[in-house]
Amino acid sequence: MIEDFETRAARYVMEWGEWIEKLRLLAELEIDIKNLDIYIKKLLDLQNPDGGFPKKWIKGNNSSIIETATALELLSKLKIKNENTQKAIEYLLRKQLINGSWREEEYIKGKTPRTNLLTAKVTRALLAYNIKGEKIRKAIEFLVRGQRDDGFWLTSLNETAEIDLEATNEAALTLLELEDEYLNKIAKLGIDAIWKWFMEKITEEWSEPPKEALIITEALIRAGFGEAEAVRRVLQSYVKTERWRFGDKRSISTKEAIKVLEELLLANAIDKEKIRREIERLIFIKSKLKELIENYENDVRNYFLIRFEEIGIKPKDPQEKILLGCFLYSMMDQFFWTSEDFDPQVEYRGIVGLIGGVHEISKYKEFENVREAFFRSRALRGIARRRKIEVARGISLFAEFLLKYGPFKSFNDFAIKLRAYILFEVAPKISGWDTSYNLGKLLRLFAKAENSTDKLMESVILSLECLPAVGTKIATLFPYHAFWIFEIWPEVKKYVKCPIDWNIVKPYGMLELSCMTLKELRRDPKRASSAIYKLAEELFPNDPAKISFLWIVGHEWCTKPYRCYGLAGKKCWIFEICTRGRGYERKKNLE
Amino acid sequence: MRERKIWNEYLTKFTARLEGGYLENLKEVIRRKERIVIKHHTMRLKKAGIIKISKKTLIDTFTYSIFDLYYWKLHKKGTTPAEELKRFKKTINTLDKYLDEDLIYYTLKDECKHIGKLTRKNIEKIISTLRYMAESIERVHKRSLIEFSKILRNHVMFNVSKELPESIFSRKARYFGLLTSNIVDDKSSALEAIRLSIACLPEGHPYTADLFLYLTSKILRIWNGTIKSQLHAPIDSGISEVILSLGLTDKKLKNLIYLSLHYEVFQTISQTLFPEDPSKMIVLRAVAERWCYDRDWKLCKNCWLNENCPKEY
Repeated sequence: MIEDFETRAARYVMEWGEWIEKLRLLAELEIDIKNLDIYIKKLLDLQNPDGGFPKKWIKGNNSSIIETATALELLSKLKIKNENTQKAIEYLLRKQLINGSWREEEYIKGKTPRTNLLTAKVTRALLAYNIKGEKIRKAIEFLVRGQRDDGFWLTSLNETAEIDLEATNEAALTLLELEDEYLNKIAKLGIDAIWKWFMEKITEEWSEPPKEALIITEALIRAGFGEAEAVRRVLQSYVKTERWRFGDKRSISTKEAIKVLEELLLANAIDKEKIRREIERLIFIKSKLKELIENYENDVRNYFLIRFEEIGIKPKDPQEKILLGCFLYSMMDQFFWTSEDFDPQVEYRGIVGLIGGVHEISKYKEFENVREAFFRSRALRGIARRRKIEVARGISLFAEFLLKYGPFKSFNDFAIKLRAYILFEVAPKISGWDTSYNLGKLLRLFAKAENSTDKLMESVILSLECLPAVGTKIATLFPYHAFWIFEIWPEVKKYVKCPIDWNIVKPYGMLELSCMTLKELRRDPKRASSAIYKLAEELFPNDPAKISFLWIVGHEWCTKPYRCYGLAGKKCWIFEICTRGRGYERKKNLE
Repeated sequence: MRERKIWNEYLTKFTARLEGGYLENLKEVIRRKERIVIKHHTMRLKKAGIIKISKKTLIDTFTYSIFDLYYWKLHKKGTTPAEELKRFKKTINTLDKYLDEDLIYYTLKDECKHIGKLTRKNIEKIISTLRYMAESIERVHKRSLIEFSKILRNHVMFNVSKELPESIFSRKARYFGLLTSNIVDDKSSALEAIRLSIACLPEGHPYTADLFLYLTSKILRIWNGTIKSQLHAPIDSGISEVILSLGLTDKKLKNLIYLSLHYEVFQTISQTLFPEDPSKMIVLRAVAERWCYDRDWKLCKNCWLNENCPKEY
């Protein structure tokens, strides 16, 4: 089915956008505030004690004026007025300079401070909350003083400053909001200047609109130029010329996408209802998915625990046994491509049968033992000799680590020892460009003595990637098995990520949460990994690996055509919200 | 695999000439002219004021190696790295002064005529590179290559790695990894550790590392014992042009960062021609300076290699 621009654009922003960008879009569409709880809570949680919002929206960063003004403007659109907004207003008023302007305290090297733009933005945010008085008067005076004879505003009041189109746009919009004849006249002068510049730039020859066009269209539309041919052409160029390839997140940044959608909505150039419908569908699917995941939480863990129990690893087993068992099992998973009916459980049992139980770690330490077992294993017959040797080396090195340094008191103990073991004992034995890169990054973490849990988790993943035959997938799979399923150290669950493969990507595509088609996803499932991680962070910020629920759905239903429809399909955990489930036209699953 | 690629894609002409015995004369000329090049380098170091062997000699030679990286730029302005170093050394005349970044900045800006006109980014890189090297040299107590390389390696691994800005580190992470894997236990691994450590520094170019090792071991003879066969020949754009003219490579070598394919192609040529001392290929740099590179027209008539050069430029 060919979807229209509105639907795909909305989905694109909701899939790849940052949470603040999503909130901007949702506020613009006037979506029911109950559905925005997650985003609003996240925004309010960020506020610093001084009332400002942190730079780059990173908790703990110093307060920034531009972020605070943006947050205030967003909250005003959502009609939120509470203690938080009051504190933000006070922060902004406190930061005003004597001349009426605002300026960021932290000077960014090599960048000219854009005083006019900042002042216009802050004034607009304050006006949205109906703030009046001396301070606003001074700010407006500053803006009026800053306008050049030709109507433009510059980056700042410096003599060397350049024309700032964005500041002109913002300043004109701010002055337009004030019902004052004189100020409206000044705003009109600014808009005329923008219009003149705009018309000069847009000639018959241009193939695509100038980059700055998008910055100034808001002022033009609000001043009544929305119907003008030139503005219409700029806006249409985004809709019609397929400027965005929604299947590829590199085609346009979500920041630009949001801006375009805002302008298009303002000019009534696209169907607001269609976007709203799509957004509401996405919000519904996400909330339903969250509910399902919470309902099936225990089933998900049990599903994996049973699989591990079948191969002889139980949650009550000694720590080292679980660690080695999970590592060996994860290593076996990399041979899934050898045959269609490859089952890591069967192969695991085969290898353990040849070497001995995983509780006998010393047997796995001997490289020759492991190597021999891999060469004698029937299922792995088609695999290259070198690959088998590398896998055997990886396993024997990990076993050596467990034998030498185990048992571990805590996750920190495990991670610190593994990092040191890889750097000082394994490093001289390994080679390769990618390994060296990971080793370098690991060294930096060691030298900086990074011992916070998130950094230590990063160290564990890098350390594992330094071992022979361990790639990104296994380095994610092992912590998932050992720390999330077996919960050896429950405190690190927050930092564990779910492994991404076709099993998890297919149900994600089936729920139509992605802009990419199933075909595109099938070609390279990893393309969806960052979108899936974003979704997991959004739904479960304290335990993102819960999204592995989708992995089981994919493994049990989606990737097995004979189970995805008919009676068997009804048993699927996501039957109710899936495109193939209730309420949707049934189609045979041929993918 | 990589070696096969080197031989099949870059060295087909070289192989043919080598097997046909056409390179014997060239080897002979390079061998003969090396003495002149060594003299020439000794004179340059003397001109820059590097005479006595001390800790400061090491850092001065290293600075000279960095300045020499900009030889072609300086040459256009009518000056040389040795002259620039001489001006630089008027103020920065002790090891301690290398640790003062502000002092180095103002010396480069005020004293050095042309190096000070590099971009601010480049100057900052040079300054921090010199400081890191000076910090390592300060800890050296013996005239031993192995000890020097161990100290430098440790300093780079545990101090430089945490201080480098993220943007620089992400480009150098591989070298840090290789340095971690390279344990220093003999002269060969010590040389590799020095090369890798220099590659890890902000302005760490393989040319700087190779020239520094060449000057300290062959010209100044700072290190005890012989390490000639393990030295790498320095390569820059000038040498790259000369070897293309000489028909030693099929394509021009452009990517000269450490351990890149093009870098390894050049090292393969050097080691095949002079297994006992690959650094002899530095003669080609002298050829590039005098006759071959960065000129409006090539002065082939007077060139040392005129009779052996097929002029494939």
